[in-house]
Amino acid sequence: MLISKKELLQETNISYGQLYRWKREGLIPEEWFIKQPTFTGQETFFPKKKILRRIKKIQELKNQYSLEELARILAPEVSERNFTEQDLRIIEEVDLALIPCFFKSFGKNNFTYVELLVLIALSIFRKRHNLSIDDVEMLSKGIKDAINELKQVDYICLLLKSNGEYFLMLYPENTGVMTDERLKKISEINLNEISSSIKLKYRKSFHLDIEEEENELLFIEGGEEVLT
Amino acid sequence: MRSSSIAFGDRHYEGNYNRLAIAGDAEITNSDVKKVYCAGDLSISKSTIGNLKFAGDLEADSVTIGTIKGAGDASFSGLCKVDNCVMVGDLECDMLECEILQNGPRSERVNTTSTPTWEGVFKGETFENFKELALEGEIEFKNIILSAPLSTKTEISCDNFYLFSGLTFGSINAEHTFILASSNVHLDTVTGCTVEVKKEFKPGKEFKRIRKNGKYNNLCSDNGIASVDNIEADNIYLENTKSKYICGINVVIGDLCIVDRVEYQDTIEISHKAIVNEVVKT
Repeated sequence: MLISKKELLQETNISYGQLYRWKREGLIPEEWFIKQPTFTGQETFFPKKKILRRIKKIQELKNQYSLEELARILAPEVSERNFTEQDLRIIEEVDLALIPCFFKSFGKNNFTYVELLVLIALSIFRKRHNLSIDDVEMLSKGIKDAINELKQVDYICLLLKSNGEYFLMLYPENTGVMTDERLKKISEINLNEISSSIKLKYRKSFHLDIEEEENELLFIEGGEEVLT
Repeated sequence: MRSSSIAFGDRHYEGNYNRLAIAGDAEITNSDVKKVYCAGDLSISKSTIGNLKFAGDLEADSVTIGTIKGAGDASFSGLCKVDNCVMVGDLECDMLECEILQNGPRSERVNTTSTPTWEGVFKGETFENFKELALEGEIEFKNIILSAPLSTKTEISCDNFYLFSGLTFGSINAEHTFILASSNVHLDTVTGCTVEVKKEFKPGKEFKRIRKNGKYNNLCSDNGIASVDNIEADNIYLENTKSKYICGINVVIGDLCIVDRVEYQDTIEISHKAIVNEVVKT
């Protein structure tokens, strides 16, 4: 369900300046600004629930934190927060045996939030499908350049197989993907769902905040997705 | 003790120097140098340079430099930091952090033959553009001052945006935007806290406070009409502007404006020399 910008400003009592300032700071993702034609020309709409929750949260926290800190808390995917080896060891969803392999294949030892989500997806794929460390290394090397382009988490990570070799594909949520029939779809993971569970589970460790209602969250336990 | 060197021909330097003047190609590694003047290609890595002037191509890797004045193509790899960087030529970087980054010489007497292309991520306090530039990367600056056209595919986002030249691209999102009205301005959307389109620019306190290289005193427009399709801001002041849709809290539509629809929240003033099709109080 969408809300128009005019309605949003009235309902939340914020100004144009605040709205666009928060957009600049990455507190409100660019993807939430949806332009649609109206009888007066073109108007901007937002996903109602998400934007109202986000603005409420910003209004609650803006006196305690700077906008930069808020961006790190509310939208880690756009912040410059890096996750070190120590952080990876705290996150149970990251397969510890894969950490050296991630360092090697990505050529670095700290990762952005979006990269972290992909590392978790790879860890889950390994557990689900008994992938070898070599398989994960090949997948990491193959996907690392594509991840640089990701600035948001609304993506599906798809594991494919052909002739005994595994491949990864990342594609935007809410879009279908059609593949060559020689590529067998093995499994898929929604990065947004991993993000929601990570934000909730590690909100204290990493000062991440959550916006989704808890009963809507998907937890990933033992490689299985469980609706709580 | 630091030494100085004047060299003709190719050279390699490593260590601490006061001044290096080189006519030829040079390589500087693991060094700390106060001043470098080079006519020729220059490669610098893991070094700190106080003041660098070069004519030729520059390759820099993980360097910290006080001031650069360079004519030629430059490539910065790794994280490079420069306090004041003035470049004429193509620029490529992984991540270049500058307090002031300037494209093109300020002097009108210096002519450049082609439009340079800049690729990579450029970050810092103030970006000034004095010659036409094709930007294929990202600029993240607090203040952006354009005195020459810039082409880019992404929305420009900053705290303070000043436009003193023609410009044709999508959108600007800035806390404060000033546009010197000109018939060469064609923008899709301008958003933020304050948006001003005026025939004249007189630098105010805020502008004077910005650290910059250029001098921008009392600029006047060509009396043309700027075209900005959509403007959304808390405070809007327009002169010589053609617009489809304007919405704000306090809006002033000055002389020679042509506007299809205005939505305002608190106050509106419309000049009798302006044409406004529809006014709505929200």
